[in-house]
Amino acid sequence: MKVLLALITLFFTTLLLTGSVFAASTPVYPNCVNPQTSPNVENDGIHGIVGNSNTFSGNDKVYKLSSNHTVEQCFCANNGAGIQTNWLETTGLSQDDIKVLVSQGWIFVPDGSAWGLDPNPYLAQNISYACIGGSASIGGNVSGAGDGLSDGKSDGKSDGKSSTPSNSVGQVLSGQVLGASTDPGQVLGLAFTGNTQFITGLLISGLFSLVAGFMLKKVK
Amino acid sequence: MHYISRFFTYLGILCILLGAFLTYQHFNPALLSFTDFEKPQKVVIQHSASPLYLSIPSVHIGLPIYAAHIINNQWETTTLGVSYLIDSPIPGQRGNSILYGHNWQVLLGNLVYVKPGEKVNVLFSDHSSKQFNIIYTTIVNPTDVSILTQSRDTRITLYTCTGFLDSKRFVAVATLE
Repeated sequence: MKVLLALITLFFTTLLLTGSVFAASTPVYPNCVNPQTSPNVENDGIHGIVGNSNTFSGNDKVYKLSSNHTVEQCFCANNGAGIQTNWLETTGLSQDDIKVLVSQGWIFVPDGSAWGLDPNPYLAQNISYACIGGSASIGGNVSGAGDGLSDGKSDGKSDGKSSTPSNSVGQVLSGQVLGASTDPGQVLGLAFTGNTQFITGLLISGLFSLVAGFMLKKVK
Repeated sequence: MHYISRFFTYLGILCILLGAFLTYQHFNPALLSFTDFEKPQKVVIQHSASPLYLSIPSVHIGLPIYAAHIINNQWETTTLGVSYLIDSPIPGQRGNSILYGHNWQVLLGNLVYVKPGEKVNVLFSDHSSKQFNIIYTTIVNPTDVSILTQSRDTRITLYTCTGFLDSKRFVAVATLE
């Protein structure tokens, strides 16, 4: 009986307390589908990919964000496979932070100068998206891979132009809904447009309650 | 003990019935009826040429559009069609028009199958229509509000839930042709 009550309590406590997970904090990168500023560098050609030994043909846009510590790259291959690469200079990050981010899928790049960045260690994160490409890509399939800053050459290394600052640096306004009549700063997330989680929770809770009800009925 | 047993039994039955109803609502293709969507009383937005109907023929989506607000960081949603964030530009005007809806089979469940290059049509209350070309699709976290930011081009951003337990958002961005 006590075990049963403990299990019931544990179940509902777990339901209430789920959601908080530790994660190293990283800057907010605007999504490539709406980068909110003009690219610092844009070119077409053959590009190298960080974390991938293949070369790819397509359009490459590089956005320097608020400081030298963050760079965003939006690469659209000719086959329509897009990769957003978020670059984060490791300056200011502890070894523990770096380890956590690497465990979360970030790629550690010991020397950013190989990709046109400052000669410091960087972390790179690749995120897939789909875009309108041109002709077929060269050198491999982009899907599931990531890219780095590129120079249009097939060696996969950068010419260094992509990190050149411009007037657009610092104009990124992520996290805001500009032009909306509601207070843009209060928009903390997107609408919840699904209820699968709620339905699953209901069904599991229902089954658990039924089992508990039947078991309690047998207890004198 | 008898009362506790009854309580859990009734609670379990209630939860399962509610879950079953919501599951039925999620997947039932006959739940929505569009036969009267052209009636003026279905127009919620008061603009002269407000968006009425959205269609994506390639994935068999055709839904009425309802105006919605963000109030205290809560997004209004409808179970009858697509929600249009009325604080964003009217589709076809310069900027980023935000539309969203549930991922139910009868609503935007098929949105995840759209691909760049496919078309989105928006019909307006003045019987005009505008066609948009999907240029990007992506999956983002619910906290990635960068997709909502105003743009210099004329675009619509359409999104719905996706992923395990609806933990992600599928986003399609289309620009005016």
